[in-house]
Amino acid sequence: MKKIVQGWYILFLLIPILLVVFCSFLTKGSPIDFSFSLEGYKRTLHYGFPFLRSLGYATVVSFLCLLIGFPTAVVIVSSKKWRAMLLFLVILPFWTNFLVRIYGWKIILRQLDLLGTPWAVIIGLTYIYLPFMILPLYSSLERFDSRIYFAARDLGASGLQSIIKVVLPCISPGVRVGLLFVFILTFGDFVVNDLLGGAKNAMIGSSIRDAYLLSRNWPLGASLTVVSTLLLLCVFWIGRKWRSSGT
Amino acid sequence: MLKIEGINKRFGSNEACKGINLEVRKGECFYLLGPSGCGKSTLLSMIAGHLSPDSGDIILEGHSLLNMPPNKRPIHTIFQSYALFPHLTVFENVAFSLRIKGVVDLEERVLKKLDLVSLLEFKDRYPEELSGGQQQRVAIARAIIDEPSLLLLDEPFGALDTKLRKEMQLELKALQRSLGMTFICVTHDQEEALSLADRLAVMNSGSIEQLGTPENVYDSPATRFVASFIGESNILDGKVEGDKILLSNSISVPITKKFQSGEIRGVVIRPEWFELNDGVSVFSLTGEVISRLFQGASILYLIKTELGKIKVLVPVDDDLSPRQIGDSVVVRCTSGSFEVV
Ligand SMILES: Nc1ncnc2c1ncn2[C@@H]1O[C@H](COP(=O)(O)OP(=O)(O)O)[C@@H](O)[C@H]1O
Ligand SMILES: [Mg+2]
Repeated sequence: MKKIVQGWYILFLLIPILLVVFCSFLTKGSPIDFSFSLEGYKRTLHYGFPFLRSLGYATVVSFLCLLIGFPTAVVIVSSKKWRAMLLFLVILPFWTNFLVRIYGWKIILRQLDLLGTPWAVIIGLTYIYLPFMILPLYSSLERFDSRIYFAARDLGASGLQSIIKVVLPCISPGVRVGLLFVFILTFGDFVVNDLLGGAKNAMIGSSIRDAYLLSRNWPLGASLTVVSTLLLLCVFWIGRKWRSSGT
Repeated sequence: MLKIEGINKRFGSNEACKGINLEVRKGECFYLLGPSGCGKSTLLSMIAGHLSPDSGDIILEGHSLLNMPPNKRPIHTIFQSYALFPHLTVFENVAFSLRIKGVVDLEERVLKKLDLVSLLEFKDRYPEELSGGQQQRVAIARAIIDEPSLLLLDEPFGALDTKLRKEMQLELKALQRSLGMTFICVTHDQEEALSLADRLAVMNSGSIEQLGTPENVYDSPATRFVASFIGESNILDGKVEGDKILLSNSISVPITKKFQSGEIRGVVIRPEWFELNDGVSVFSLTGEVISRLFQGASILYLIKTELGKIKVLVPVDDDLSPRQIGDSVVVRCTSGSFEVV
């Protein structure tokens, strides 16, 4: 069993990553020349804004998803009769093509005069990735003993205080998984921003796609990917620090 | 000090509390006793403020609590299975309400309460690292930390084994006396309620059937439910005739309460009111032993008679020659006053 897991990791995680890292140190050709070059990494320096935009959107959208996802998950867990139905509704959108749903939002956002603004991107990303927050929160909340919340209320905490001081820490595995999912997926998204925000203000996902597919600059694409991954690792490292100092 | 007036609460079609009235006095240990599902926890939740009643009022020292959120009520609860905060140490669990209030001498007060429940050395542990009894002490310390005027306890001993339960019962009762706090406890364990309560209310499917002292409720059950729920009892049905009830053609017992002649009523006779020997009696029967349970200091016999199966409790030292299953015996009723339900 352990062997299979190790083999799986090597085949589907380690080898692709090593290939990307390897590629990032090569020279642009058609598509690549096998000679060492740092040209890809030098050019990533021009991509500060896409990186920042991705980080910013990912941060805002993760917390928005938590803010919306938490009450939603609470409602689902506490409604015994409708639970299965509500869960089904949460995953129902996945049955429709992603692009169709984004085009739907395009129409709504145009009506609201928001199309092309960062708000449109935030709304679109939050909408698309919300289920990835709701489901892990739901599974943690399902195992949470609601008496613990009532105990906090009983001991003088307001509703909000009880949620922040007691409920969220108790379901922190779900919160972390949810934030992780939404953050990673939002960070790498390259469709929502293009369609709702306009292609001019690219997120890093679009930049990577363009490097690979439009300008056929594989070393650049690979360099951007490696830097993205390092950035994400940094964010999680900071997250861990912050959490362990918090408790 | 706490008055509950005409409280109703329903969940869908399920009436959990039906017109409950009661008054709890300052400094007493009041018990709500009833089978599981009869609405005890629901009533407690309404007093604590986690649920609001559909109608009726809850008045604490002259002021209605209904529009007060649970965090503002001067009441704490010890929850069924304690509901300790799993992510906080024992110290932080106990300190919780003081941290919310932001008091200055927090550490001193927490340590004092931890000492009171002899948990000082465990203050840095997490709840999951404690035994059931220790967890209960944490719950107690946490709930009495700011000396609330009223403490609610939902099945406080339900999660403990028998021996520990007795110990904790004595300890908690002593604590209640020394702190002079008012307790409202909930249990389905009649033995616990009878031994610890100053007064108790017996509940059945959402209503209070009887309210009184343990002696009062045990000796004169007001309803058939109370008679069968509290302690062991035989309820023998018979027809009322004037100031007597006919249990059979030849057996009748005198009654004090007034009933319509011809009504079918039950006479409550505790198993210890019967004896298995000759002598003076209100009435006696012959029967056959069909089962017996040795209970340490006494033996409980089940005896088949013309009035149905009767439970008889005989102290071991009175019972010089224990009866065997199949023996014919004479069952003698020695009590002269009966409750009729
Ligand atoms: N939140 C709720 N929703 C629906 N029904 C409930 C709820 N809480 C309790 N009940 C029902 O109300 C009745 C009384 O419950 P409860 O007060 O917990 O009983 P007890 O504590 O005496 O065992 C039960 O039939 C229970 O199923
Ligand atoms: Mg209960």
